[in-house]
Amino acid sequence: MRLKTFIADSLPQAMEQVRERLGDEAIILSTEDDPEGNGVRITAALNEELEEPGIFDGDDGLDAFNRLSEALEYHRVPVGLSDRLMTAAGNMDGGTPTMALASALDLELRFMPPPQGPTERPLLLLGPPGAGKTATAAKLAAQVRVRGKKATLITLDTGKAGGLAQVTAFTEALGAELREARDAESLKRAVSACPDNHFVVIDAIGASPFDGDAMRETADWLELSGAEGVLVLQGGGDPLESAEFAIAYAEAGAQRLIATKLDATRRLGGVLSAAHAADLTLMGLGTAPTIGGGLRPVNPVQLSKLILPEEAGDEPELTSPAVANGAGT
Amino acid sequence: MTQQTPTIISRQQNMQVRRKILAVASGKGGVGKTWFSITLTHALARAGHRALLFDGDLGMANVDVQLGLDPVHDMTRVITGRLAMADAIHEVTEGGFAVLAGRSGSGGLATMTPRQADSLGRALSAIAPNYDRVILDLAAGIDGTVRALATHAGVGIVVVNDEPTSMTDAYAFIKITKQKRPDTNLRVVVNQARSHSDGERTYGALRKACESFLHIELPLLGVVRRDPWVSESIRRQTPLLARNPNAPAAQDVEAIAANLLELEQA
Repeated sequence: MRLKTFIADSLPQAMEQVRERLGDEAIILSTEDDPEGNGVRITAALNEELEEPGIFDGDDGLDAFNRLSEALEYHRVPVGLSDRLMTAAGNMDGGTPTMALASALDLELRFMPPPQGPTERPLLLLGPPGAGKTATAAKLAAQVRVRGKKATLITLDTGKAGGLAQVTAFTEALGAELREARDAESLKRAVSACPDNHFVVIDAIGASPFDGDAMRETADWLELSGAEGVLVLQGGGDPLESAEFAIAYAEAGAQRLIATKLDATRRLGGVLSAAHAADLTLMGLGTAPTIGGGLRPVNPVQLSKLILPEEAGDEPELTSPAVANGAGT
Repeated sequence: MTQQTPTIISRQQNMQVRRKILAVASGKGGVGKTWFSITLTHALARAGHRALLFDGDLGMANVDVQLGLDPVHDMTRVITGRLAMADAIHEVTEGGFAVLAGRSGSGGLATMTPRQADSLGRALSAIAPNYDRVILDLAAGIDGTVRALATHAGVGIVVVNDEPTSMTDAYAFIKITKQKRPDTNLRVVVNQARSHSDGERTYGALRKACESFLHIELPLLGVVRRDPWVSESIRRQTPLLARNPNAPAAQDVEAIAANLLELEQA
């Protein structure tokens, strides 16, 4: 709506001004004597569709629609989530497909960066065996250490062959402290022994999400340690399988998600559907085996750029994974 | 058949909860929206209703400042789920109403996503049954977080003054709210009016624009007159109805509260 006030000596003169400036379509909203005594004052308005068209409207709308839906299909995003993202993107006013998808992702998923210092509650990393929990724990500790903050890594995984040697090597290299725990009770003691100024990350034993006993044990660890559950899940998995995994871990208490091995992954449907189905906050993407730089924060715009190829019709090259380390940061 | 009943019941309950929540919006800032929200909540409490005021201006919370409350809780903790909403409520003893307000210590609320705003709205709906009325003081503007919070309210009160910018911004809020949630019951309050008849003229212009361009009816809830007692009470961080219930603006808001309650009886 365009609104304009006109002041003139007489009503017909004011009406003439309205017609001149706003045209015949304008309507008169109010008429009054000018309070300053300069004759008559008219407020008139014109209906204007100032709203920008949606990205699926207009000449380029179909291209944008196809480009987005093809990208989501390429990434094997499940139909339910894909529909929600397409609808949300279509409701955005104007902008580029990348920004519309970013807004849609922002609406459908939760994001937070990895911690940069001590957190209110320790983080407990859980997930299936081989997902990269220990390396992720080291990466999280490294991000804190490079900022000059202290870190403690507590491992529950002392039984695995070479397991303790691996975390010892990590913590020594990082200048972080290492503690061991064997069960929920000793974990609780280990957590309370950590000073407040330490970032505390707990590396749990990998467990199948469909093993009821193991999941109950996981829930106990979380409850007794007061930790926040972070699911560490390998990217590139089957989207529905990943969603079921995530839901099982969320039932045990996971609230966050770190997706790993994205340097060896091209399709992000598994990560998206896991985060969405279990309502997990996406906390980072593991993009390289190096402990120092291998965990990237992710926001909706970055994620949108990873999903949409640079130019319409561009197929990602066979040699490039979905996430190249360091790209887009 | 057996599965349908609970859905219907919960939908009815949902409607009841939404009707309790009144969102106060303005489009443009600086028209006295927060002052009006506080005074309306106070007036409803004086009429014997259990009332809760929620400061939905999350980036720039200032209900606590106007009321001179010590910020007891950091709303960031509520948003991130570390503090239950019910535990963050502050009772304003001299007003007899409850307030959910607080600055964000981290500034994180300014960057809240529409989805977080939506879950905040859901948490608000969950505690709404404990009150007769919940007043939701929305931020200025019409961005995604404001819209996401507004959808949880059954009644929207649009506060305007006679400035053209206030009129066009209020119109934009009305237009977008009616598009997203056509069943929202929208009403207009004209604030800072020179007189009742002046305020009615301002309302008349907005009503005409909505009728002509949006084809919707927009009832007037009331006019609040410009009153030096208002800025005086804000400066003293004391609610106007506690300081001078006979001030013209105080009486106008009490009339609006009575109007609201009467409308619901009808």
